[in-house]
Amino acid sequence: MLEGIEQRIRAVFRGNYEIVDRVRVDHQIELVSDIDGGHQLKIEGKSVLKTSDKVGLVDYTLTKIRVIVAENAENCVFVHAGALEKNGGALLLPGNSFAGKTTLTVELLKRGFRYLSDEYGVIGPNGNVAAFAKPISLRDGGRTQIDRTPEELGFDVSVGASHVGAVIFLNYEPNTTFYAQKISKGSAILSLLEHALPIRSRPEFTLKTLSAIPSSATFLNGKRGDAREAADQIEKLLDC
Amino acid sequence: MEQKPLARKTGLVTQEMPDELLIYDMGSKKAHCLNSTAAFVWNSCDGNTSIDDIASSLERMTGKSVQKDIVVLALEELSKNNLLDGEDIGLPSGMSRREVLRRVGIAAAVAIPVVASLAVPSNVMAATSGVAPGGPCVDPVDCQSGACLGSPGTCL
Repeated sequence: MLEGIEQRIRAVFRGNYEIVDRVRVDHQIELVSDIDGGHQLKIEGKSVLKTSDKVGLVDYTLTKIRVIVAENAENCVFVHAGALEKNGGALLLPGNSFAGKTTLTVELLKRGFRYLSDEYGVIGPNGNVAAFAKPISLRDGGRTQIDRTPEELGFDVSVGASHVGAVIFLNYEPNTTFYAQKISKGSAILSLLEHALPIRSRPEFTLKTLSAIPSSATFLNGKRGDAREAADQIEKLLDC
Repeated sequence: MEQKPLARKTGLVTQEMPDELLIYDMGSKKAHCLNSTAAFVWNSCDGNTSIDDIASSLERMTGKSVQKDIVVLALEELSKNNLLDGEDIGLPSGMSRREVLRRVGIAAAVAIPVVASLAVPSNVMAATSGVAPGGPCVDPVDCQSGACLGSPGTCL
């Protein structure tokens, strides 16, 4: 059961994990093969999902692992966002799935930004941003998803950014011309809370960490249509 | 009797920022961003200070003329968002917020008080990079699409 999953964990966490014999267990995730040929996932000893779809179960397990890591990371706040780096500053593009985050992230990568993540902005206590450079999840025009490493796509991967340079909230609306206006840092952090995984479990830490984003960062809110046009406009706005 | 508003402090996490104040309400799971005027008024609500006195303090702090209606507008916003203890504080009877805004709008030398709010979704809801369509799921939040057909079922 573990054969396919280790390779995929390696791809998601890119070496930021260790295989150990004994360790203090914070969260217990088990994949169990049943005698009837089925498989099941147990989290903290409780059966969460039983299925005969092994590949699907691995997908599901990786999703759960990512969420557990994102919610419980001790010294940083995970926000659901596309994240890129240029000249040491991070650009965060918060948004939910199907909001076109990855499409816009890829367009910016083509323009010389470096990849941090297409899923999480990982903000540290000093306002720095760590990489969570999982494979890029591309859609084939429909709802099917294909994962490719940034290297396979020819993009540079960043090890992290010293600070947040910009946070841009863009709603995708087909056939819309790019539009963005400046918002205050407080408004930006308020909107970021909607995407911050530990806000409910660790609100004080989350607020404190997000407030370390420098006031000098660019905070924009707006809407976009075509990702290429949006990427061009973002490049101009950030003057890079 | 003269009203002396009291800011609610329990169950709230606050984070001061230059010119703004962020508040997270652990009970309602709502987050609020107060602009400088609303933050000043909220910080002045100690239960011993009247609305007139808060307006005077705001005048002294900003060096600008402050109408009492500005403070009343702030208190109404704070009260509406459950950020005050005690009785609700409303606008002058028979007046809508729009009318009060119109009354103070032209003359206002300080920023009109604003409390922006949002309900924070559950942690899992925030992590929407879930299972791809066709994969297994137990709950809608497991799926990228937010739709799980059956439980356990398949992501749409």
